[in-house]
Amino acid sequence: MNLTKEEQQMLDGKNGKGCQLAMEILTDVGKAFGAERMIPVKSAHIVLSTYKSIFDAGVEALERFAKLKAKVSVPTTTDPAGMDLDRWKEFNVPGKYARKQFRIGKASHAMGFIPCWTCTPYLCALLPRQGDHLAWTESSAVVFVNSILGARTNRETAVVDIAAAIAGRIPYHGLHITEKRWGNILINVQMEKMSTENYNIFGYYMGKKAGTKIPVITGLDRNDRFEDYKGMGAAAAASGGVALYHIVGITPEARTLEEAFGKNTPEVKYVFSDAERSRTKDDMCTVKEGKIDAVLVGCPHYTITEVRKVAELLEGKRVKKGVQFWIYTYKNVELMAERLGYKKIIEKAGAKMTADTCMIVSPTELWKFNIIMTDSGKCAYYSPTQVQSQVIFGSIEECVTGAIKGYK
Amino acid sequence: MKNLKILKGKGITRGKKEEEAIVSKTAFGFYGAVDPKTGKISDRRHELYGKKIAGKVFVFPEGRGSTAGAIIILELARCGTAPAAMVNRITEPILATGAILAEKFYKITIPVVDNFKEDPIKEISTGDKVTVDADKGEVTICL
Repeated sequence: MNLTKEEQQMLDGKNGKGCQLAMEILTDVGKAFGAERMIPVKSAHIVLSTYKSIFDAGVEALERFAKLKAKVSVPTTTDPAGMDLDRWKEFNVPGKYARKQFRIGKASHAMGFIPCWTCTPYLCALLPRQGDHLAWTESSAVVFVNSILGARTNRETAVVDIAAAIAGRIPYHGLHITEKRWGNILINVQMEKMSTENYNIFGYYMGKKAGTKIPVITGLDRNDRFEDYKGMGAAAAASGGVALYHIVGITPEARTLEEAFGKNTPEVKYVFSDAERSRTKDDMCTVKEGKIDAVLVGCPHYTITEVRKVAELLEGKRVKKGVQFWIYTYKNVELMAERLGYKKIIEKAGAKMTADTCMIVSPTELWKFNIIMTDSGKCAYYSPTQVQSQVIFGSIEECVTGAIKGYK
Repeated sequence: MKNLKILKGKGITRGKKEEEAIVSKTAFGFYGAVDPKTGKISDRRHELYGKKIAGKVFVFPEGRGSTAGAIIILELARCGTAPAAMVNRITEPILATGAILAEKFYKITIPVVDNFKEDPIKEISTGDKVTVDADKGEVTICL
């Protein structure tokens, strides 16, 4: 790789052993991708944040960097932790697991991360601008900032994220390059109404069809509920590997169909209408009906607007005894919901708000839920392996009804 | 004299290993799919559910899924249950990174080779004795 003088100095250890280790990893990884050089990044987002997903290897990697006194050189946020950091005991998290999580927190603080513990750092602490080069992990965050904000990041992975945060750069390849951001496939949406639920379903469909390709979408009107893009992208990044999509006339790199495709021609064209919607919704459910053990929502983390909506649906109602109803978000939103009285309404109905984590990266499998309901396409995709349960996907209205009745 | 077939591709990491192959015809995402304690596939939805990839040449078309994927490979290396080598049609960056980190943190070499003229999924069968040489970018199948 062609390194700048500064980068060579980092590799030679002039900026400390932590930075040296970071540059060794980045150059090895860069060579493997055929990258010719590095690019400085504006921020990093770290997925080495939850014990459940990173195991002891991840804890050891974090602590190795911290021991070398490595410090981040760009604003760096953290993905959800492996538990609610204040109320983990209420959620039956074992002490041994909690202690590993606290080690993760300690190393994160030592290196100068911004510990927001959320998959939505773009709503919490960072605001990438169009053209900004980043080193982000968390597939749902990557697809949002690439597509909706026009920022440039690959789907980075664990440990490389820390290396990039410390060295302040990442190998220049993939989605950092304009030509690699042009669309590959075309999806025409032919739907009369695009509800929040339909955006999730469409995202799941898009992921299955696109894999890691870049979809160009036509037929969608401007949606002022940005939360719908959050859910749609997350589903596509989970069911497939979508890191970037373009919506013609709406997203920054797709003012026209021609701009979205650049010099590419569509490899294949799909249509998403009622038939595909029904089929996809069926695919998203591993069972059609049954006794509901839990409703788990907030994947990606709910905004205050989404919390308000579920509070309005729950107000004056009562979740059936024995059914868990957990609403995941980050701490800022939980505290705001407390101040606004939404949390009290939610708790009075027998549901719970929880912060710092989510159903996928915390040990929800210990609760041995048989059937869960969710309004999240991403959660529907990961529930069988990460919650180890059956899953029924539905709108938030359907989820609330399911929680009250105790069955679907 | 043994009958050998050599597939020429692109070596992504370093090293050379000779082991028994295990072949998946479908894409594989490590996240939530492999048990680090045993090195066996734990995703019920996968065709190789329950089979061991530890110590084998793991052949699969491409990777899939979570950006946390590389750390699973690192944990497999820490536990001593990582595959001996990986062979793909196209190796997703997350997979290559996992192999690179395994060497950096636990000194476990996992040669990875992709980008062949032929289709490695068609050429290699489960049980074949296979040598994966990432330095040369070659996979040798003992027939």
